[in-house]
Amino acid sequence: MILDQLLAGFGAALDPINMLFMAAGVALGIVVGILPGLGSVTALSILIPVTFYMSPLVAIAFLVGVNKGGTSGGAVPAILLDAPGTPEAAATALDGHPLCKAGMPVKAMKAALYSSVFGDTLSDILLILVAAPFAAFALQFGPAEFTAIVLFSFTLIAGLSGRSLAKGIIAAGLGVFLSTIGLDPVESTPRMTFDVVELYDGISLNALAIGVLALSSVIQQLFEMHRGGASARQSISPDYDPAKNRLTAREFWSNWRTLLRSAAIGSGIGMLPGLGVSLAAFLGYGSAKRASKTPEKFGTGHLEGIMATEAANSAVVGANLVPTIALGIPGNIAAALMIGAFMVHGVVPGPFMMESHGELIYSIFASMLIADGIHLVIGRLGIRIWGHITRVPRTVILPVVVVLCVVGVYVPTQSMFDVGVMLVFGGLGYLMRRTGFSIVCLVIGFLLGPMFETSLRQTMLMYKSDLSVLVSSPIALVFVLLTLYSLWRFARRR
Amino acid sequence: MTTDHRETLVIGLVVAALSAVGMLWLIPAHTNPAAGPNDLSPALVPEIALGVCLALGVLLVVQALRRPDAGAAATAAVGADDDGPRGLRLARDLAFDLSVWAVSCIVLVQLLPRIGFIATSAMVLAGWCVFAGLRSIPTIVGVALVVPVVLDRLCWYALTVPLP
Repeated sequence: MILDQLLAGFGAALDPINMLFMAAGVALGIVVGILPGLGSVTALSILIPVTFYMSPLVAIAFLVGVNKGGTSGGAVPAILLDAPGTPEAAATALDGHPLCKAGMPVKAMKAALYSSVFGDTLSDILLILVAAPFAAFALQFGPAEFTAIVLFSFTLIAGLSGRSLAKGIIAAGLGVFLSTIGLDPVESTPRMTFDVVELYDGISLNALAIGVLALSSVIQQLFEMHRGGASARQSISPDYDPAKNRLTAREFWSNWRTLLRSAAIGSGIGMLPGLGVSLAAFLGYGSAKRASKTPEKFGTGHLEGIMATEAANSAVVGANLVPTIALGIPGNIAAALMIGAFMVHGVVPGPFMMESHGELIYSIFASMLIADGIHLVIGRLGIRIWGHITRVPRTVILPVVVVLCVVGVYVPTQSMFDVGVMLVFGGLGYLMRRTGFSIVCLVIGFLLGPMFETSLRQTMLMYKSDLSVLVSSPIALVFVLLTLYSLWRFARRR
Repeated sequence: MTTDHRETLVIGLVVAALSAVGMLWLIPAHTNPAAGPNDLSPALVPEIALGVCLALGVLLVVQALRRPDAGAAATAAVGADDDGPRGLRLARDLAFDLSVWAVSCIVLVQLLPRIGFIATSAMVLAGWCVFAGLRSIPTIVGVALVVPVVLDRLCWYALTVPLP
């Protein structure tokens, strides 16, 4: 039944115009994802009006392409410049940039692209096969279950804190504290805003992430060059050797367990509304490190680290359409924008969507699978172009990235305040890097803080302050046990 | 006391002091109490976050104060000098770098709304290129002129966003 409908969907999706727009969407998504600050969310919000005059299938397929390209594009600056274009690519930089410095930027980009397409395809298949039942299962996740998931996610800090666990936890604590600035999520009263209206919405994730992740790294490299650490002509990857940049099928598939695990994590996170791509990326990376026999290699230019991150963050793209299509509930901001796009074209997402627009939905599913193939081809062509960037002297490319960061933060909100916030966090990130604090832990704390607070306080309100629900709910109990297990394993390793 | 311990001590003191200021003044003065009997106070999560920072800051201080002898003995054993100058250099470098960064940020934020994106970016680009060690005038001029114009036009035509 599904196969018949899917085959019919392929018939419609293989239309040359549809394919052309999908390719344009993927290419545009990759380019936008590469620019720091401009991820797929910005691209989607800007491009939805462009689709007004397209047919529903072409429009949705185009936007799906943008989303896919935008999610994987962030890996390119993360690998080449240690300046992730998007927060979810931060973990990619941990191993991608050391590999680039070792003369293997193209190999790192290939690993990122292939694992991204792998994760994406797997989650698309999952979406097609189990959209309805999985969406129903996702509905069983309430505040207590989310609290347990977020608690488990905090154990990531142990694996990503670097040489000093204490400094990692301090960084995460600072991240959580910064995330509480703005309106209180339950009572909407201002917290630590100093009557600055721009702070009522809280500190922008985009500004903070680009500041501490991308800008601080660029500043550090600029100061190192000023002190004579590198010659003016030195390129991004001075030891580049084409022979070392081949990624064999054996090398890639030897990490199949990591790829599958990360794709499963990304798909699971994608199906749960509100958790987001960045969390999937960090969880994928953390799980791969925990499961590895050689965890000490992570962070030193280990291919498995790149694959774990990229497979996980791209797997969110397909999976976040599960609650969108089956229930009309967006999994994240990109999915919320996709709901807007569906509605613009006369399709109301929700339980009756399959019945009312079954033909269109299966054509979209088919388009998603075709877009994965297109993504592979265009991404592979793109690597040739991005490879040329490695030959540009760092003294030229790094100042350009500073300006790109300013543009990337200004464009989504057109706010000079956000630009100022990014510059401040650029300085803070630089200070943290020089004094041995983990930047990634700061970002994790900032991401998890609001989720933890909202779900915990909702749990307290719903269950009248009785937190035993965390062990009486089977789903929450599983995550609480996983948290305890992770802590026990970490303590044993230490 | 070795540089590492001195560094840890300073970091611990700074973290503990800032966290204490946050917990004793910032949060109580700028957060409202809880509205309902079953709700948590809006101050709880920020207090927990800074409480953890304070505790670990104190831990870093204690760690630094408890181990200096062992560190000094190890340094003496390998016949190395006290690495104080390295720590001093780090502090001096950090002070210089952050001052340069602060000045460039102030210039950027002040100039951007006044003289616009293209002129400000051209200045920022040229400044950072020279600072990083690039001395080729044609390259500097080329980058400073082309990149801002291309970005400005790209934002306008592709994203319909006017830059300042």
